[in-house]
Amino acid sequence: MGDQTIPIFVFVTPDKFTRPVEPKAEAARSGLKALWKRLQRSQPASESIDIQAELHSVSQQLLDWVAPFPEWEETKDALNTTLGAWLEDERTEQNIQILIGPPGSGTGQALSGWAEEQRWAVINPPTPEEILAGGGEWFDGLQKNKKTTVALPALEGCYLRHQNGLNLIRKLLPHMKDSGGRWLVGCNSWAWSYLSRAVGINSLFPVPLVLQALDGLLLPRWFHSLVKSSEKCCLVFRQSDNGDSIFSVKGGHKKTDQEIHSEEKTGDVPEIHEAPDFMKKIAARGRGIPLVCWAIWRNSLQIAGEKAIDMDALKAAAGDKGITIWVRPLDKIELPEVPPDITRCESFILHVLLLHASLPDNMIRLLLPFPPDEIARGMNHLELHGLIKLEEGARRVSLSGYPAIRQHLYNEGYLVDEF
Amino acid sequence: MDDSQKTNLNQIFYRFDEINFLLIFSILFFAFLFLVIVQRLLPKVAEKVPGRFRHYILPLIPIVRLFVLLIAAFSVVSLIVKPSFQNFVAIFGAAGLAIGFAFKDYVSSLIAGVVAIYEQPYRPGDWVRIEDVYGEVKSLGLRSLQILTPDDTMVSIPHAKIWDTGIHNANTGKRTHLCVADFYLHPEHDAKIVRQKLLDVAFTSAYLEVDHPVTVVVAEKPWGTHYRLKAYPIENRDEFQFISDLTVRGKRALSEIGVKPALIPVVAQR
Repeated sequence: MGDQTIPIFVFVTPDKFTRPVEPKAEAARSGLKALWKRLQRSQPASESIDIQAELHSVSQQLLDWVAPFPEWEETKDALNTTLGAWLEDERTEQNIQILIGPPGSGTGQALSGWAEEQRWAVINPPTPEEILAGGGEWFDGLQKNKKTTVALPALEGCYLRHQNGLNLIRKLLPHMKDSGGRWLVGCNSWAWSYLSRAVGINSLFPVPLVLQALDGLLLPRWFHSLVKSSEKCCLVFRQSDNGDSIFSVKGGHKKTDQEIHSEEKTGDVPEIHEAPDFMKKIAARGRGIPLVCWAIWRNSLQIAGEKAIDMDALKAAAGDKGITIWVRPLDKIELPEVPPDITRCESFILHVLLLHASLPDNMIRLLLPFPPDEIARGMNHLELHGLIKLEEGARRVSLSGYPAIRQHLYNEGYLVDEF
Repeated sequence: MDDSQKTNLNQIFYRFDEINFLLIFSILFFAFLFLVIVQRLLPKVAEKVPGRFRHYILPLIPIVRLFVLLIAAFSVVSLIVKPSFQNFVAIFGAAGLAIGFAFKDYVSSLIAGVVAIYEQPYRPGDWVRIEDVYGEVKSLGLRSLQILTPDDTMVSIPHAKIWDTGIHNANTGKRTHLCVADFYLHPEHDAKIVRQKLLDVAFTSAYLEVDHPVTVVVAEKPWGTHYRLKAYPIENRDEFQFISDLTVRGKRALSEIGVKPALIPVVAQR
């Protein structure tokens, strides 16, 4: 994994952001494949349901063991490193630091966790109804806040793309600037793009920071750090088509979160000097966004013997100690795709969800210029194709569907983020 | 026909038994087949590919058709007429003269069609106004263009119109064009607040192409104040939905801040 002292997560300014790119041959192949699918007739909906069922065929328990949801310790470390000088400089004129991140970057969660650990005041966004009413009570509470260190992890939750939905953020931005305290603000990259055009947010504040994309070398290190190793158990991750080892996890005792964290810090991870081809592809497909890559990674895992494994791969794994986790090649992974028969209404649903990170159904109906029945049909269709999902009463785009959705919206001329 | 005339014709044309009719028929058949495929397939491909490629594919159709027709015509003539410069000049000159007299307007439209392909005053996918007809150019034939109006009526207009009529092209090959929503308001209101509200209405429209400017033009009239909200939709085809969306939400937003519409009926006046 090259230089083990290089941290996995780093915040950079947008001009230094680099996205891992697909090898040219792979990009051409996937582009032609996508074009061919568009030219074909619409696939029946039942096929999409089968794909979704297949995606979840691997045991949830196994997935939660070898690829659990991250706790963002490394991202919090990156925040400490990045913000250290700014926090220590008491005479700085810059009282606001903005962190932007695409969906699935984990920036908001890390910022929130970091702020709680540092005992900063963490401000949750108002409800959509409060935003439409001008956010009076919520904003009054903010003004009364006496804390000099304030974290607002989800600025995208403070506006709505509605004729009355920009009033609150117009009051909030100057308040943040003039309040005198330190503000650490997280913002969805799509909302940042939109607000830059609608209210000029990019010209009001200093240059924001963004989490650098993960490449094919950093991804296996991060995935390795996520594994919850149990007693006397080794894990070897191998490609099911050729048997190549991606990385392995040594057995031992059950690791605590702190141990996993310190293991990563001290570089106690296997040495891989060249990024596995598979990881390069995942990084490119997932645009280097942590949770998007993580979702693709989870989709690619399968247990030995469950599916047909190539004979050569089985021979390569004969000497493995512990459990071999087979990883499906990327072209065998069925990720959600934008259906060729997607309607204008459905594209608008995807776009509005990305601009706001998540929205309840009644707000989607309010923000979009379509009849409620058409919106309901569109949401069902998108859900059927695994492109959106319902979480805690609100809709959001699925992580594994995000790359396809972004490409579709870009192709159709919608405003997209920079990352 | 005397012997000298026969000799002249023999110098120009192949003898009847020398002409390969099967080949001529094959050329005409395949040219026709190719034209039909191009005419039907390319618009479908343009609908399926990502929107950003649509305006590159559609204008190719008339160019491809023209090339195919020219090649087919030249191939057929060269199978009937002995290939020499004098012969071709004689044949095309005589044919041109005859057709020109008989079908003057038709030929004028054919020539205008070729000029239209070269000068591109309109292309498939453009939104144009020719005299009283406004709509999307769906296809360019050899003699005429087809415009689909917002009322779902296909109008065929001869290319010859380009000689003496102004062609109003809203987007000239681009994906978007300026749309205007009009608001006629009672004069007693704060124009600054109304202007900001209308800007918000445009910026929060799901149809808006945000990288183009949004402007509000205000004009005081004897009956009240006329606001023109100008913005660009993501896609040309969204023009009427976009204007409707701006109008519906604009009326609601203005009503919420207590601004009333002008009371005197407005005669179409801008």
